[in-house]
Amino acid sequence: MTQPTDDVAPEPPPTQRNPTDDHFPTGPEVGMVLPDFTLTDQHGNAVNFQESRGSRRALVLFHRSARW
Amino acid sequence: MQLQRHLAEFEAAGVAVYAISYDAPEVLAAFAAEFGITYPLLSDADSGVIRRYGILNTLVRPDEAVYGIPYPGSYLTDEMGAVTEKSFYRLYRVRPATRALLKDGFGVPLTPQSGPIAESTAPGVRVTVALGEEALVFQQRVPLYVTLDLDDGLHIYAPGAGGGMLGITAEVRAPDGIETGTPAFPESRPFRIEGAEEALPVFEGTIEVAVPLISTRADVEPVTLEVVVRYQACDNRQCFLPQEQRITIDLPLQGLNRARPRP
Repeated sequence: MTQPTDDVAPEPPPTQRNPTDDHFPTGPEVGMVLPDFTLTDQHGNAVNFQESRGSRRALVLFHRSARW
Repeated sequence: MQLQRHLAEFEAAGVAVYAISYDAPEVLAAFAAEFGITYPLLSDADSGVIRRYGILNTLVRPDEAVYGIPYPGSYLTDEMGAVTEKSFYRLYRVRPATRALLKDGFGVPLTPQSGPIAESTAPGVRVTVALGEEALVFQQRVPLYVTLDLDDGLHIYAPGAGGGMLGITAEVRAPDGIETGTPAFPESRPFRIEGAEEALPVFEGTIEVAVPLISTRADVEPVTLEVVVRYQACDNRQCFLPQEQRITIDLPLQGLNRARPRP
């Protein structure tokens, strides 16, 4: 059986940013200590993760952008 | 924004919240001002942390304007900073709802229940169906909690228990545009009924089953779902006939409120 040509997957458009399956990197594994970081917040202050967290638990979210 | 609404609950539970993106601090300042965000919005402008974590979205080509974005996701840590759980989803908008994070990630009980709730009762077994949020949000994963309260001395069988016993099933019948995920059951424990040879996995007391719901509906008309719970209950001496309880619940829908700080 011949494959109809219009069934051939086109090159992904530039806006294709989502993985097509569940195999994509997700960073530090469960059980690992989350690597420390120091970043600037919305007030222009440097925030160090471990220092500011102290002995609290944490939720760390990675977003695409606040713009879109 | 949803996170901000529940920030006090995170703080009360002793959970520090951080959000990281590749935006410049000025962009984050505008966003925080417009939406009243008080938790740290952190600028990883050169994507250095994103790269170090190994979550740079490499589907984006370096020549594209949005190069530097991560695969979006979240980490939960314990008091020592070790990762206890992480959630990364293929599709950005499909992500766990805030209250579900609090409950499932940090064990914070969701009381009082502020979302839709419905219940039904049969002898010995009360079933409650409650949404984990006030409403279903477009393309957001919101759990529907199906809770069974068993009278003392009763047990029901875990899914696929075997031994000729009907294991519990929780089926959610939803209209088009409401996707339902696989129900998550709690840990069962082995139980051997008097005279039986083998132990079978059972639940006792309060059993909470979480069924993820994802709305892909563009409209905001409320939807009605039917939850069908089947189970077989036994006490120490005898087993009762399999039972079925049907509970209908109306769920409000919320459109997607996209955040766009004005330049």
